[in-house]
Amino acid sequence: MRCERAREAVSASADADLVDADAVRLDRHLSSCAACRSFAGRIERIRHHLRFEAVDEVPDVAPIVLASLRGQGRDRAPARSSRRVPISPPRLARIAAAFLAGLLVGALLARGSLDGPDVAVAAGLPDRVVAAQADLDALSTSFSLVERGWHPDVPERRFRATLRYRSPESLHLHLRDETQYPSNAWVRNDVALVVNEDEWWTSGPRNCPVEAQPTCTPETPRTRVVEGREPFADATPIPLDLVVPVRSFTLSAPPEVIGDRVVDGRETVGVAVTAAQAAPLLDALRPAGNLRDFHPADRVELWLERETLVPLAFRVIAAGGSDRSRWAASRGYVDEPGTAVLEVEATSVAINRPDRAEALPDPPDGATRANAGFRPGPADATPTPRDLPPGFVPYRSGSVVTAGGPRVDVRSWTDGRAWLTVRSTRGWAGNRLFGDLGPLVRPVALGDGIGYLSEDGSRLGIHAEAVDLVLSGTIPEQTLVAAAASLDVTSLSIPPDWAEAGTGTFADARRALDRLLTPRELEGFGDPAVRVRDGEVTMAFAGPGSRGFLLIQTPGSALTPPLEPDVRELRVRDVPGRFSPSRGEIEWVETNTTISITSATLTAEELLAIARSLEASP
Amino acid sequence: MDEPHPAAVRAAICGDAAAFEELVRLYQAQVFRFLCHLVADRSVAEDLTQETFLRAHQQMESFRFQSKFSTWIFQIARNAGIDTLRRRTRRHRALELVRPASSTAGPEARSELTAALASLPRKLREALVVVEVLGFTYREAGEMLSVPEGTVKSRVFHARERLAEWMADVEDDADEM
Repeated sequence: MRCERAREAVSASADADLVDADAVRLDRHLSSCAACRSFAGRIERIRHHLRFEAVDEVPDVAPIVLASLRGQGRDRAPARSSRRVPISPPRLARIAAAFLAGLLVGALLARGSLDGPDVAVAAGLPDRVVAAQADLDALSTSFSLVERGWHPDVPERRFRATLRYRSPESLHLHLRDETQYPSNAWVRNDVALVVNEDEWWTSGPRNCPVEAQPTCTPETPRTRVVEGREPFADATPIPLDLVVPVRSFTLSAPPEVIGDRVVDGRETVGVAVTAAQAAPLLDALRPAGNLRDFHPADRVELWLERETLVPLAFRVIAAGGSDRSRWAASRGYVDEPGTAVLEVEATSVAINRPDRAEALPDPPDGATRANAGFRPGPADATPTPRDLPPGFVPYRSGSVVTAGGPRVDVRSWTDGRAWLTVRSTRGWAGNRLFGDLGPLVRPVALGDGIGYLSEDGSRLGIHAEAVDLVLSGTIPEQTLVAAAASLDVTSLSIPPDWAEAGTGTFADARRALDRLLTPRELEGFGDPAVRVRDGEVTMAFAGPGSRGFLLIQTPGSALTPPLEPDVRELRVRDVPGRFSPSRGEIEWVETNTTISITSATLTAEELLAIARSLEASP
Repeated sequence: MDEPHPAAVRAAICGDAAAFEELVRLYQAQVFRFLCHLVADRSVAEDLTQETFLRAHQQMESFRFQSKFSTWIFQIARNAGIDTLRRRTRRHRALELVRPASSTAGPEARSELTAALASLPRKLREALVVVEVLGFTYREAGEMLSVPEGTVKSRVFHARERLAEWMADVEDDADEM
């Protein structure tokens, strides 16, 4: 028995899943292999720790659950239950699973035709949005917000909201709920988010399931305060797409232009994208509270101020189709296809008028506080890129020290709303790239060295002698690469036992498969991250917002039996294939290769359009 | 994993509030623990525990006794957790792998191991939690996670392998001190 097989057997044995013969062979191997004996000991200690971990203070949810159910029984109108579509748990599971992947798709593969001037506007818009962020230093807006379909008993909710922003990291978003609710039992969705450099706090009602409203929502809002926040921390995000929608348009194809409008006396240009693409903008409205969800295929019409590209109005229009209906039913929504489920419009706007900025409010007393561990300081261990984007100036720097975690030194630079951070740590023992780049990365040349880009190109990891770094920011990918290449470190290839070791190039993929298929003329996505493992080629294509898809090709002549009962047959590239709505996946077999395209947010038609565009790579 | 008496499940299906409360009290601690591991946030896990039982109540009539009740309830909990994970931005993934400076002996090590567990990819993490922490078999876990039994076995192994590597590093550090 070899060590790898022995370790698998140790794991199976721990779960009482080892046949006697294997158990004998395992015992024999362990008696002669100290390394595997150590492994077995560690597995046993892990089990002991996890099974007997101290769980301090398990909440008792029974009273609130039962109170909610009593409230539903009292308040629920008969018509409401009749409108709901019953969903079996497995189906709900599949619906949830379809949205889990998150990184997957929603491309406007088939856009409407554009006329002359609109073509030029659309073609240049994504780059203009990304460039505009550097010129935005302050924003003060008031806006109205109308939400529809959140609850059958509350078909429409109305809000007045304010957004105050001062670059680079001061922001106050406030939503005041002015809805006429059916009774006082409903808790208003008043929401606040305040980011003040190293302090971040949110306040809003708990997000109870729709079917448990109104009784399940406690009257007291939940307030979370995080201190010691590092610059532009992911875990405590600042919703900058409300200021200029950079993430919604980075990697974007030219959007559909829908016309011009005047909003609050300002000229705007209108574009239409999917909710998947505009996810960073839409998610920004709900840092807390219970604003409704939107289906990734919903249409978003967005009106951007012509010069600054600040979003001054947008609306979300419910898409149609059986998958969309099932998605809505699983959330308790009743949406008519084609109706606007969200409408946002600015009522007063001041751009680049920092004098209009107001003092940021303090969090309410009694809020739960947490410390993220950032302490200002020189961050000497982190190198400075010699090639910074023009106009970028040093911003906050310091170190993050958390219990049990490695020390991380952080430097940051900004220009208006745009930002760049470099984080470094010594003694990294993660067996994967530092910086949470995701499972699939793209190798990129950094002078004589090498770096690794995340799927969407917003992060770049470097493994170097004695130090590991990650650069991230809102700047274009090539600018990020130039900054990384100018760091005074000698970057190395990742060790062969790291999680990303299967990372490859097109050349690797072509060598692995006799006939590699790649999409032709695919707009709106970056270069794919490629992984080659055991003959299987995986390509991850990321787009703007939460769009993206996986293309997986494996040698084989037959598909495995489907796990889901709702799998549909369809023809893909003139051969029989199948579509799993729950997994957002089409699969087929072609030239002794099983091929799948998976997306959480693309429709079957869009997946098929990608499939049709595949051609053999030369 | 404890299983409720079928009569209690049938009573809950028929709308007996006391029977349903019994089910909530039987599973709420384990569901909370599972969700804490899945979403790595106590307050979110608390909300999701509540949501799990509300969803379960709504769907009780669809429980057909074709699987264990515990498998069914954790499937709902997982779905609720996955819905929440989906909402997080792609960048906002699990914690980066931490490297504790102390040995694995005390309660600190235990919390560090929990942090290391939180750093695993979700698929590995949830498989390990379902099998190792909650004690389900590979077959039951496969049913819950909608993957073949062999996939569960493989994911549990790879999760353990990574945690063992982490533990080996910690032990090496302790030896050097």
